[in-house]
This record gives sequence, structure tokens and C-alpha cells, in this order.
Amino acid sequence: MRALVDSSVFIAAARATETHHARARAALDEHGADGLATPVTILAETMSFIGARLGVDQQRRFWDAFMESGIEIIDADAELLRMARDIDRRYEDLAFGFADCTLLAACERGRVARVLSFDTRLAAYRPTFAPALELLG
Amino acid sequence: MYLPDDLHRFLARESAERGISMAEVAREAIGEYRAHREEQTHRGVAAILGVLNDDDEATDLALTVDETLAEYYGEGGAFEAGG
Repeated sequence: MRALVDSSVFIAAARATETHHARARAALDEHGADGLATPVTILAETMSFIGARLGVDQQRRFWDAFMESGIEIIDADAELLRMARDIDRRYEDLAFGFADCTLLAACERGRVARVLSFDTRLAAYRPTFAPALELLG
Repeated sequence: MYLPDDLHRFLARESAERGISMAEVAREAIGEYRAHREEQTHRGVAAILGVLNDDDEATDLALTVDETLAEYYGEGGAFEAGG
């Protein structure tokens, strides 16, 4: 089964000093063969985070590495954004936020239940095509 | 599964020459393709692992994405200050 990757796993994998580096690395290795993908919105979130916290040089390092990774980029087209907004309405109290709602919408559209993320809030989401999301961590 | 004529001919020829069924040839080919993809993907994902070499001492940045972005882009944050 394909897996979608969230910002938290990208950052933990990219920084060897992170507490969860080994878990992120293992998850990417374990699921890599089945195909990894991420919405462009999550990539933008990751890049913004790295730029804001670590600076533009580190952002460029990750940018190059991501382009070499072969991880599929999922377009955030109008349909995906509508689906994401519907999720945001249904889970308004949890305030997943824009990027995470697009990640969940990508799960729905691709019927992908496996999400590589350390964000435990995502466990509250109930997909329409599976009993629950399978989250890393 | 539909196969174009040239691939079907290739499959039939392989099957005849090796004395195994076309289904067996197809299984072998898919297995080899999968191994190739695994090798490609693993090598690709490896590009990300440990790629950031910053000197920030924090060890839980992966768990603070939302908070960090909110601070950076929020009122009085570094973005507003042009940082």
C-alpha cells in the first residue's frame, strides 16, 4: 500500500539530531518500496518551516534532496482543495489547518490509509474508505 | 490486462523458448520490475536522510512545525520583522 508523507517525518528524517530520526528513517525505508507521495502543500509547509527556522541554505539542501528522492508530488488542484475544505468543516474543532486538510483529502482521493506522520491529531480523522488511518508513531 | 501486440508477441516467444507459461514469464517480469523500483526508491529516499546539517541544538523540531510557522508568520514574528 502506498503511503503519504507529512512534514514531521520529512524533518525528522532530514535532521540526524532529531529524537525521532531513526523512526522516520525506518518508516521511509520500510514503505519506500510501496511508493511514497506527498501533496505539494505539505512540501510547501516543510520548505517554509526549514526556511523560517533553519535558513535558506538548509532549505536549498532539502530542496535538492527532495528532488532526488523520487517521492511523488500530489497536485493541489481545485478538487483537492474543495475536499480539504470539506474536511476542515467537518473537523472544525480540531483545526487541522490547511496543509493537513489537503493531506487528508489526498488520503481520501487516493484511498491511502497509511500516513507517515508524528502528528497524533491526525488519528482523529475517520476516512470514508477504511476504519482508520494507519499512522506512524 | 491488455497488452499491445508487440509485448504480447514477446511474452509468447519467451514462454515458448523457455517452456513456461506466459503467466509465469509475466510474474517474473513484474518481480524484477518491483525489485528495480525498490532499489530506485531506496536510493532516492536516502537523499533526504540527514541532509540538513544545521547547528540548531533543538532535537524535536519535527514536532513543532505548526507552532514554529505560527510564530514566524504571526504578529510580531520574524516574517513581519523582515527576518
